[in-house]
Amino acid sequence: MKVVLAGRVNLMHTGQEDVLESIVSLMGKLGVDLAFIQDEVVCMEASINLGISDVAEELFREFKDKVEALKPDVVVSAYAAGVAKWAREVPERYGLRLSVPYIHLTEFFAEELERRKPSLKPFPHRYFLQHGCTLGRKLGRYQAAREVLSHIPEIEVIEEDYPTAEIEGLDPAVFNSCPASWLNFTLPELGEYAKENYVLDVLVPRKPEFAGSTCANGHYGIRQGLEIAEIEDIKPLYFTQILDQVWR
Amino acid sequence: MERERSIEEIYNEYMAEIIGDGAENETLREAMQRARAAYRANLKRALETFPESVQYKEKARKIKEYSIDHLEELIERTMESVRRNHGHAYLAKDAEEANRIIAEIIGEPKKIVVKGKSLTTEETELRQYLQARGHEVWETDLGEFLVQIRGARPMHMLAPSVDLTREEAAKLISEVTGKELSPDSIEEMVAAVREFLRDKFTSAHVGIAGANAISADTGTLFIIENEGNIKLAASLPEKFIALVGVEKIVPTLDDAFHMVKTTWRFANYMVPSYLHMISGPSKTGDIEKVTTYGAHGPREFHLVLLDNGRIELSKNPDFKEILYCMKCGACMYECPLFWIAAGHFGVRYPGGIGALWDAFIAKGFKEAAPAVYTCAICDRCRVRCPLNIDTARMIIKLRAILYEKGYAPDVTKQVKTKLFKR
Ligand code: SF4
Repeated sequence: MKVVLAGRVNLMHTGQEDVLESIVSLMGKLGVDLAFIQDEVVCMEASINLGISDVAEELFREFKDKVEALKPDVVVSAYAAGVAKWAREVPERYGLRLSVPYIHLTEFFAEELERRKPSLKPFPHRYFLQHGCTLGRKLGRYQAAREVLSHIPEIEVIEEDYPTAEIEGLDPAVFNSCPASWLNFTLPELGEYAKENYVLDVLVPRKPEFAGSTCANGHYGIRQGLEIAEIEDIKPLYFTQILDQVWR
Repeated sequence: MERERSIEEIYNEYMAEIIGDGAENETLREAMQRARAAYRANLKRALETFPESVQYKEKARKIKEYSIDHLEELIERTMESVRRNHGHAYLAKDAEEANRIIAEIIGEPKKIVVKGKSLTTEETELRQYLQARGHEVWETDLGEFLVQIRGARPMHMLAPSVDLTREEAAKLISEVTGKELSPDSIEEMVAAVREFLRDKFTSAHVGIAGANAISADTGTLFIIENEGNIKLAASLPEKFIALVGVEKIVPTLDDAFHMVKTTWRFANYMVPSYLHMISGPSKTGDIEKVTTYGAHGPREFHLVLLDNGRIELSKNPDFKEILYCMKCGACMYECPLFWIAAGHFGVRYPGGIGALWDAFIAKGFKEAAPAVYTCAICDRCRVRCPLNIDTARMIIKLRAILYEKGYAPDVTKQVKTKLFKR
């Protein structure tokens, strides 16, 4: 199986090489042929979200050409924005469609774990899972991350609750708080306060040992928030880092 | 004439306020935490008690979709209904015209005016306009009264002083009433304001309020309140004036009732203490069945409908959803930026949906740009909104316009060269 990892440069640009290494290591363990996009543009999806529309179409067109030239079976990313943009906005706005499926890493690993049923080592820790806003709230995809973590023995997964979710017939994750990572692209000096507040308000009271978002952008926000709030007893850990640790 | 500010000046001023008065203000963060916890607990109680409220959302959305698509027709019908009821109806094209009409209705010389809380009057800056003409104007909603005495602006759509702690409130009320009030007794604070304003109500010539909905078929205003101040402002003075945005009009009495019950439920109330329905001046037919106007309530009823860009916006398929907003304020309690900055996130209208109102209605694209780029596009407001208003989608669309005009923040402008290498 040939897999293209989109968003590699974003991980490097944000200093999340540890996440990238865990993905590469896991793909190696799975024996897949992992390919990267040449001269990949950092955070190209931001072109739409920030309103930089004069270059957006060109960026997505280039992405399509480069990805399709690699002839993968699937495109995966730790980020949700690409998955979302290619699912709806890019086809709607520019009439562009990828000829291969583009899925989120949680979905990729949920499928692989289900298919391979590996025996994983235990991870006896409290792990706070944030469902990234785009993957969760906007695309309604929560289950894959939960399925992945459910394969790991002894992990205690903590999610944010919401008092009226059940009455309203909604998955509580639809109300997940946001570490405001997108402010890095607009008003970062303000974003620092929002991230710190997220950590103090949402993470600290739930006392996890580790915390991570399904989306690498949200994950970056959590990392930054923990740093700004100077919280040392909660460590940021992306799900692939856990999976890589427990995969025998 | 005021000099037009540069986009740099606008950003600098906005950032100084949102960080200085908002994000760095520990008291505000604490007040917001308390407000959020109370909102969630109250909403839970209200939805548990009235579980059918969850079903209100869909119908409310349909009513708004229809109303905004038929806005001009409904405005006309509303004005006809009000006139039929012996009221006066006006359509003001902008804030200046609305204020001028109201000043003319109030007349000369100096009058005492008692006001109910209304975001639309904030949009037109009516209090300041009337004060500049020598009238004595009092905000009579407690939260809005606190806003007035501290010379601030409302920090939330329904809870204008949501950013204040009880300690700060006690200090402010003590100053204005001359009473030594303790932060331990909110009851004493409320009593002091009640006593202070009672005189103003009884001597007021004019009462002013907004409305939560208007039914076009009967020309009836629906006004939700808890304090009883609007009850007095709409009953005691000779003249009652309502300033209402045209987007509040819905076709029928039933529709209007549906909108107000959705508003109060998602604004976290079981039921408000008062729901006023006002369709015209007070009247009696008790002597020989001859209808005579000016019984115990106001002799004159004036409805000033405010356009200020709403009619044009109702025809814009990308952004007309902005007008569906009922100003219930629910979304604000779940916004990560509102948590740290309250209404400092926004200019005239607060929060993400407020940024859109500022851009299209109250302030214009340039002044609203920093608020539009403050939104974290997390989409949380949409799920909390009873009308499922997709604020993040519209923010993203609007950013494309703002970016083009050069109104994006510097960091955003640099993304193209630094990250995209274009
Ligand atoms: S956007 Fe929705 S939740 Fe927010 S104030 Fe308007 S109606 Fe209420």
